[in-house]
Amino acid sequence: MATFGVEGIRYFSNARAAGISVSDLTYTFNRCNGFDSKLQSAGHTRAFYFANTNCWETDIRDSDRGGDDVHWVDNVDIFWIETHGNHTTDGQAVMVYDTPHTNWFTYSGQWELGENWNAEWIMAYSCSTVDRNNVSGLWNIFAGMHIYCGAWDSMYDGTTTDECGEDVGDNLTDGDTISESWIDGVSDWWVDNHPITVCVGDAATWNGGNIQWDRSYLNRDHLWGHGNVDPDLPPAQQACILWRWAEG
Amino acid sequence: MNDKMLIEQMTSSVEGVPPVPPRAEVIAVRQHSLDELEQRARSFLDATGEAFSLPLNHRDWVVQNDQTLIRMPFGARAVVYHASGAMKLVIGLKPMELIFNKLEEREKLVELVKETAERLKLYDLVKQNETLRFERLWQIKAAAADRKSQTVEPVLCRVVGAYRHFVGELPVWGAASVAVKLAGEGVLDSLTVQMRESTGEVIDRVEILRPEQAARQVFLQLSRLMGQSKIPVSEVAKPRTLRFGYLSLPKRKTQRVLAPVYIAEIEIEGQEVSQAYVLVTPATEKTYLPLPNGSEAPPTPLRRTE
Repeated sequence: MATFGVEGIRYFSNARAAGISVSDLTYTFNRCNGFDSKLQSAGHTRAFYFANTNCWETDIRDSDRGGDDVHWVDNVDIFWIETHGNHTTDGQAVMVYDTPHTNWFTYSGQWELGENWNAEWIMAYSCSTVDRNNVSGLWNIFAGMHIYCGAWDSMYDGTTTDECGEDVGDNLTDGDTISESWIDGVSDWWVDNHPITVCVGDAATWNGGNIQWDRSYLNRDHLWGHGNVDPDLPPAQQACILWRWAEG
Repeated sequence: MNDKMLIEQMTSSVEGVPPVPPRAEVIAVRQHSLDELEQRARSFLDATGEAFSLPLNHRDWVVQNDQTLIRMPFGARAVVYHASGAMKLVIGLKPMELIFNKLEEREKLVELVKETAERLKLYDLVKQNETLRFERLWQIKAAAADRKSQTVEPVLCRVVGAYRHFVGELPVWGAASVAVKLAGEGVLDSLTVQMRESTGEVIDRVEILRPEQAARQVFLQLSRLMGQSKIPVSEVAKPRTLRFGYLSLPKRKTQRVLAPVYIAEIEIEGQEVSQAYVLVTPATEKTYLPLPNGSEAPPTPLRRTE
């Protein structure tokens, strides 16, 4: 079975006081709690659940870059985070925190997940953390990690999206793949959410540009205990980056 | 843009039933017993299995806290949500299995979805004075790039046809009332039905607030979320739509009535991080449909301190 971590930020008063233009959310913990309860009900182990100012950017920043991911995000199989997000012009994911420990923002250029540690899957309910025109900007985060689940444009906070965490959790524990669990779980096929899942693949998957889609993590990875999980793919064997998204 | 202009912009973007009627009905929603839900699920699975020649007749039923999970051969499953009666059938295809041979014209895909809807007799799901209308086509695609940033053309993995339930002339907003997900060659991947069944009983016939009143309420909600921000709401908020109609709450929630509401989609742009909100406000003086509150985090041990 899997170990998992959850971080959610609903209130941003400290960030606003520091001059960052960011609004509070309403249903952050409906989603986080839903994900948490579904995974726990299925027998998975919660390693940590941090909220608001207890969420720190150092939790995901690589230990070699002054962060502490070895104890938190890179120490669990699957990590769910909700906050506001964006991406940089060079394709890095950006997310904001409500306390500067030690920075207000995290940049994915400082993540290296799955190294000798644990992280297989990251799920970020945040706007625009993937630049669909430059998905390769995320390549550095895959140091053994399998799939990043995020958004290529807006992800809405509202009454109609408050069960997304439960939906993703149900999908995962009912045996859907990680990619399908995310895209289906955060989509109600009405609200303009923009889910995307990103992974890396080997030379056989790239196959000279004639992609062998059936070999990719997008097609094969499930949550531990609910189906197949492919082995880690070290950076030296990574030949391509693959992504799957919903648009409407 | 100032506050007044923002409110005017929202007011002018009303979608749903132009013009917004002066009065509308509050209608009772039917509540189902577990036995009734089971019977509906059997009919749903029988009909879908027959329409697509799927082996959905061997069923393992597991009643859970708030839903019933039905396992079927070859990885298929269905879920019935007790609070709403919503049903979801998943056939069990892998995400990249049976993808489309090529990207298709949107019109052709819409046609494929509509043919499937006919085959599934989806239009029979609604009662007299109700309709089910095609709303939107979604597409799930995939692409890849190598180390030299050589990118391959996207492939089309799935299409999702979203349908909207109307009671009288009013749309019932919320998650798609019906979502048909198809793989290549029109193979059914999943089918979700999420409609609140009305009893037909009119509980009240009420005066509808004007769109500008709703826009003001939405503006107040947004202002509260922005707290003591140094940048005025009106400078950063980009209203996408203001919709009028009924609202179906998410599928795990009970709902006694369909009551008129306004629903705004608003994005906050041009800042370091993007933000997007769906904000709902009653379209009536009296609140007939209480909206779910935002939860707080569970009490957990304080994290380490330095």
